[in-house]
Amino acid sequence: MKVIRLISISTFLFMLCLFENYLNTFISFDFGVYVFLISLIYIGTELFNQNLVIPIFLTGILYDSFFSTYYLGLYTSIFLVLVVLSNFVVSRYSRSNVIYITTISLCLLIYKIPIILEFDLDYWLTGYFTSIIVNSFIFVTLKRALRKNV
Amino acid sequence: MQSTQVIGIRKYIVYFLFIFLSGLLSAVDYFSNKTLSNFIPEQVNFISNFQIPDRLLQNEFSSLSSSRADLVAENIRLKEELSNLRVLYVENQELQDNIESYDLLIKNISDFELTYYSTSLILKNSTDEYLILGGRDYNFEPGDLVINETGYVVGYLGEVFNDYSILESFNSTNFNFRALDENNNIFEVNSNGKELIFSSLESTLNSKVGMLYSDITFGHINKFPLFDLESYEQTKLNNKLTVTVPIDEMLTFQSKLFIPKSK
Repeated sequence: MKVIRLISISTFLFMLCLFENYLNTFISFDFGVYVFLISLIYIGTELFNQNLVIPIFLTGILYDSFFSTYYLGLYTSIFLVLVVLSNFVVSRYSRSNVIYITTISLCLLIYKIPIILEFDLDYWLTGYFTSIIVNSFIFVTLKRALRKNV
Repeated sequence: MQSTQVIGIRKYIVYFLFIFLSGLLSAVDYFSNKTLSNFIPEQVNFISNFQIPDRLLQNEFSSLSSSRADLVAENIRLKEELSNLRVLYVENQELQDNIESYDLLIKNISDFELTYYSTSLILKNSTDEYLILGGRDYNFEPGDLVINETGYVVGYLGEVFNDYSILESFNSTNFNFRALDENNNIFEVNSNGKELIFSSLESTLNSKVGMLYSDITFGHINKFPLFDLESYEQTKLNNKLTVTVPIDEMLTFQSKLFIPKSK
């Protein structure tokens, strides 16, 4: 039962990751809609659990194997760091929208680190700030919607 | 107070262990020349497994109600016919698009000794690299040129898997390309994401640089045009030429791409 649960969570996360990539291939704006990143932050802030480490690890391994040209394990560690960081920030400071936006900004910076290291500031800075606004809005809306449903 | 902090940090231990494991995997992958990261894609035909089965497209489930009245059966038969015709229409449109793009390609290329495999985008990853259809199943190899329907080079294959490949396009972080101009001067082409930077490797350039081409001396399959630099500002420093060109065109799902291979 536990194995099935792990496999289903891993599959769901990988599908989200795939969906995020498809979405950002379709939209040709300067910003990105990072649904998978939002879900990782949501896991970090709301659902943080040691049992989720394996699904996140597996999703990272699959992403590294199929979609990335970087070494195996790079995106896996990025995904895990994001969850730890978002949980750390939220548990250390109060749960306010400012903290959530700060968390998203920090996480997005780490998420996009391969591009940030390779390319100049003017390539990613505008897109980065726009993405923070868009993704923060999605995150806060999602949080409110889920809170109401519960 | 101190013990609460310890408990707070303790909850991350498993995560830190897995981050360490990921780092270890990266190190092994680095020293094994990416054998580890290529292992899973080499075992699985990932893209082929995602194709929608024809059965679903043809809506065969509607035939389950064949025992109903004739009118209902006729209705279902017509619905099936309609969905079959829709599938044929989509297929027909795709074929017409392919014919048009091949027609355009034929007008723009000179070498007919090569086979031009048609390919298209699947998705863009987090580092702005494109996944395209076709891999080892078409004998593609890393470094193979990718051209558009006008015959211009749009990138090269960075990594090749069973049924898909990763295209290093102009706005990819790893894009690095060598090309020759009409006077056989060598140029190195790099990208900063928004601009392409063409730098000459030799210091004896007197005239203005025009069209750049791929060349077999760099392992390319043939001579294909890359960029016409004539209309761009060319700066000379220490007798070496640098030209910066903004990247205007982005690849889309509608972009028709071809990979030339020898027959």
